[in-house]
Amino acid sequence: MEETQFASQEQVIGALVYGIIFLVLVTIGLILFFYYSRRKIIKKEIEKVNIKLDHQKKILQTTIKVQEKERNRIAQDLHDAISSKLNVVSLTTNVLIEDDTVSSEHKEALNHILDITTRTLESSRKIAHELMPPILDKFGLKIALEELFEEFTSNTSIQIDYNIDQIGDLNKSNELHIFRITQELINNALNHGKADTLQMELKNEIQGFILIFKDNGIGFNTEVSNKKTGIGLQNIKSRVAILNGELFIESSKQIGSTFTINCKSYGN
Amino acid sequence: MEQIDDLFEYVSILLIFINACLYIWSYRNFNKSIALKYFSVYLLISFTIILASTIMAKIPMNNLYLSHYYFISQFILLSLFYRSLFLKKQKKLVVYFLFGILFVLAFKYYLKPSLYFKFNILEIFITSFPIIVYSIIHLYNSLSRKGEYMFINSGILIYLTISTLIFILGDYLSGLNNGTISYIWMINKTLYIVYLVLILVEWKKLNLQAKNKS
Repeated sequence: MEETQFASQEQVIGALVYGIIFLVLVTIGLILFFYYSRRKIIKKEIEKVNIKLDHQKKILQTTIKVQEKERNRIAQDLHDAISSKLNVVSLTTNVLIEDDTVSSEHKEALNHILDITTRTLESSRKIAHELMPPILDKFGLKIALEELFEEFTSNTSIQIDYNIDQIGDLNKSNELHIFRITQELINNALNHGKADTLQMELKNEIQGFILIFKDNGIGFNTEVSNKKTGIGLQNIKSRVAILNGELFIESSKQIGSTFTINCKSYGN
Repeated sequence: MEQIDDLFEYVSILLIFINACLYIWSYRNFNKSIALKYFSVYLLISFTIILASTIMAKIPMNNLYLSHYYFISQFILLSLFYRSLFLKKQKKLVVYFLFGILFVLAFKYYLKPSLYFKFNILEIFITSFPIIVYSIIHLYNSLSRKGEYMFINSGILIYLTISTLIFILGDYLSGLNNGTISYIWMINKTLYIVYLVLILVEWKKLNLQAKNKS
């Protein structure tokens, strides 16, 4: 009798031990289930954010491309529709001025017209140049950049040291992106960085090219800029992205800023 | 066997003492969160009760009534701990549970004061089960938010689930005269040590976070 009671006690305890092991496994399983679900959810969230960021980048790049196209069109129109017509006006006025039958009073008015026409022509030419540097189109990136530096250094105390290689296989739109990036970098260095000495290097690499731009300005906080990038820097980043390049920025108060753009393969 | 049993007991007392000191130190020095406050008090009270019951058992004296203090203080403090971590609606649920259960227990002791000197199964069940529910709710919350005190939470879930089962059967088991029963108590003690180690790991994590912040 006692033996059977003892045996049933053993059974109860055995069942209890298994019950406990079962419960341990179930709770651990529950914790693991939540842990892995959480990881999955976080992964999905990150993917979502990345897609959104990618989309924004694409929009920005397209905007820049469209902007350049539109600039080109306006520059062309200015040249074709306004400048050429103004040229005709100026020529005709000149003919009238030369004419002896025209009274001197009228000649004064004609001279005034000629003066205004010449100035308007000059302005429209300037605007067209700013919109689309024709030198870039005609003589290529190297000459265009040299002229750009010339523009900044003449009549100012700013000094720009440069060393520019001729980059092969670069199509027109990519040349324009590099030109604009340089323009923006110089503007930033002078306006925000208060720099007076700039250094620029554009070198051919075995694959692609590398652009190094240094200034001796007051620098800026690259981490803050990463979060809340200014329009200028954002523009540079987008253009670098269009070129399929990488942008590295180093900046400090003591030595100024260095921008390095490394392009192994150009964008289309 | 008895020596190992004693060793486990001393290790757990030492661990809970270390944990209590570390958490109180953390709370006073850099992390003034309410959750940490309740958890520190919980550790301190648990340490006091366990130390007292161990000493009383050595004298020997009847220490069974201490279990009521242990379960009820654990219930109140862990409820408050979870309440501080929960979202608005869940906070309300914790408060309802807290008052409801304390009322039921008070009523029961009022009707039958002799229960004080006995092992109260109902008390163990209604004070432990809500904590297990809170722990699962907290796991669920951590799915979409930053998971706080996840090691403590896992420890609570595993330890409380198993120890509740063992304690509920404790009355029946202590009536049995069988050597293998000590193995079951052994499982409980081992799990308690695992729980305390997880609390220690959580402290290490909190401490690292605080260092990184400063």
